[in-house]
Amino acid sequence: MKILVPIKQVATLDEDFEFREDGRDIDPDFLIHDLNEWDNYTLEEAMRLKEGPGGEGIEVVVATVGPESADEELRKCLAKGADRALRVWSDALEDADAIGVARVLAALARRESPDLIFAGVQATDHACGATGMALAGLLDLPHAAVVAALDYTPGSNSATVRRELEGGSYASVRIDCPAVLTLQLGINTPRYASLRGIKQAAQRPIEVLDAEALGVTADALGAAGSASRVRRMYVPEKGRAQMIEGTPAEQAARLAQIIKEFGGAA
Amino acid sequence: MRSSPDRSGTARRHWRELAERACTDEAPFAAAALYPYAAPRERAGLEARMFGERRDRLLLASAPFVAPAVLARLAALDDGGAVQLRLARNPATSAAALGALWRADASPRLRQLIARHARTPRAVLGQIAAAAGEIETLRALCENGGVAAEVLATVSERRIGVLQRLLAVNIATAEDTLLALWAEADDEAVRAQILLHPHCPDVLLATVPASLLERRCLARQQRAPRALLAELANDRDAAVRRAAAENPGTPLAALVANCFDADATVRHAVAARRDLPPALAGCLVDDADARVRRALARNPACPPELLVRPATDADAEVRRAAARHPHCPHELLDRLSRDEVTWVQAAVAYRDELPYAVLRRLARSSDVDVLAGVARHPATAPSRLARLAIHDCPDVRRAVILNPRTPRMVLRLLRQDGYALHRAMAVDHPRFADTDRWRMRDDPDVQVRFRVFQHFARRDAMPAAHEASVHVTQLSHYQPHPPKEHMETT
Repeated sequence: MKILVPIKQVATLDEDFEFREDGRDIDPDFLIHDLNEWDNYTLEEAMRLKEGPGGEGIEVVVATVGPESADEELRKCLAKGADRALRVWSDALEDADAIGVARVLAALARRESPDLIFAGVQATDHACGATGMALAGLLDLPHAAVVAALDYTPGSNSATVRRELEGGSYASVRIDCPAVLTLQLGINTPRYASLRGIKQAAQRPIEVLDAEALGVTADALGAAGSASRVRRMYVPEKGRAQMIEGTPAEQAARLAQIIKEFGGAA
Repeated sequence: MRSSPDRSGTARRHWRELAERACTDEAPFAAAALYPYAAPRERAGLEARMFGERRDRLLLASAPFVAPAVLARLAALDDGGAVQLRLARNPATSAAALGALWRADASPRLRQLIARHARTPRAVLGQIAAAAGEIETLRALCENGGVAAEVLATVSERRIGVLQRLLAVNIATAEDTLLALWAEADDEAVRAQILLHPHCPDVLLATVPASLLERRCLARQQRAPRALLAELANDRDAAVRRAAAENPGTPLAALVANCFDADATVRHAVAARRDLPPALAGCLVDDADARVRRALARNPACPPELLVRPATDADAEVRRAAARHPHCPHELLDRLSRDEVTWVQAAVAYRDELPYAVLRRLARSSDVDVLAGVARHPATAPSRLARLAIHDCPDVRRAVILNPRTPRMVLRLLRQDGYALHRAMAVDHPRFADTDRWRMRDDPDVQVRFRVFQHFARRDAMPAAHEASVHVTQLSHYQPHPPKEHMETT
């Protein structure tokens, strides 16, 4: 049995940053990279099944679509116990959106034929929340989003999942396998990698694949295979809000004046 | 910076290896750890690693743990806006570096950050106070925690209304400036802050003001006359009474009525006073409000003989507070260590002086809070610490590192801990040996490597006499060995 865990190297920002010259992204000098928070939970869920009853034959494969720097995140997963790591990259993928990434992951999934795919609900940087479900759509597999609990016996043809819904309610759903699940934070308690695991992971191979070699055609690769394109990234100009200066009495008087101006008071 | 550190043979070999590693390290921090202690001929290589890439310069500029010498060198590079902004926000940036940034053609944002920085030279702050035109820059200066009284006086002389309250709040504002502000201020918020200020002129503390806000602040003023505080302790406003009850200057006789105040927060303030007489403690021990009982049970002024009631209170937080009372009798601790709520047991476990039997019983708990208390206890046996050092819960393992008596052999287990923060903490443990630290020089985590590199750079730059005095200082931080009957020996 095989579980595929797609992961993402995400970027975080400090308080100050600058945009790239083309204005379509942040200057990479200002980005600090890390493993997407949700992916700690998806990997842990896969490891939980592998280490649980009947999980002896489970192979956990982590995969990402990203440049060489993403190897660091794959190694973190290997250090925690993943069996194999795959990275897919082509320069054309630079402009891929969530759908474009899902196309590549779908090609990879067809090659790997996993029994389950665990993706995070969303990524902390772009927060599209689309890759996992787009992957399910492209593979035409049963799927469940925002899964807060999973009940699955390795080798079984179905799983029962608890989906998180609006207003604090849940839905219990039985789903046929193979399936794609996007897992929510808190579904388990992610482990820390042991120091020994980290050192061993540094020596383990990461299989690097070319998107074209997986059968992704040029018209489905990167920007061509994406449903959206970032035209401009910017910080909105100030002006919609302003600080009211003065003593508390002056501030209150000005606030009352503004409320009257905008019809909030008689 | 030392011009040419005199290192022994081993130290020289160590230094050479660390310098080579730092120059090829994936992150710039290892080089930054060595830089302040490097000889001039070695600095060029370290600078090339630290400052070669803009990305690394940005990382270093915002790192508060990096030595001021590194930040000063970075400030001198004239590296453009983003690096300068990060340096001006970094609390470790030195006065000289901030002065250099100020001399540059500063942007409005950079001027604000420099005006707010606690290490900005007085001369620069004086220039800002006298001549800055932007109100945001002056506001930042008034909020500066390291500014001198004369600088604030200069701002005050400019008579800018929106800055009055900030001037009255700043702890450095002098008495005569406050008096001038009082004369100008027609806003009770400003006057209230002046009444609260530690340099408030005595002449302003003579009468009870009519305004509620001013009374609340005056009631918190420790230099207010006792008679006036006694009057405020009976004020019609509960917040004023609470502030007076909290004020150590309020005479105890004035607080008797506060023990029976209708407002629980007033009674809470009395219950928490460090000078609470036993008679007043007796009035509060059966208070209807659990927060009041909890404050009393935790208060060192509460007589130990009164703790019997809090120790059997229906509210677990009150029982926990009794367990944390510094003079809680051993028989009560014994009872509380068997409490049905593990959070109460944990409070017992966190006490340094415990009968051996109690410590041993708590050590059999499976609750992680209790075990964390046992793990940091000075009398816990090394064999038990060794077991706790490999506990599944990181909080328990961290407590083992925080125990200054944890022996080296146990710390060596934690050198392999999966949690990088634990390995970084272990590097700084006084019982960890340098041979152990040396083995961690290739740790996969950047912050662990930084600490290891910094440790050896400091050690080898340290003259022998100074080193000996540091060793004595480290040992003096140890708690005295607990009495033998309180020691867990197996």
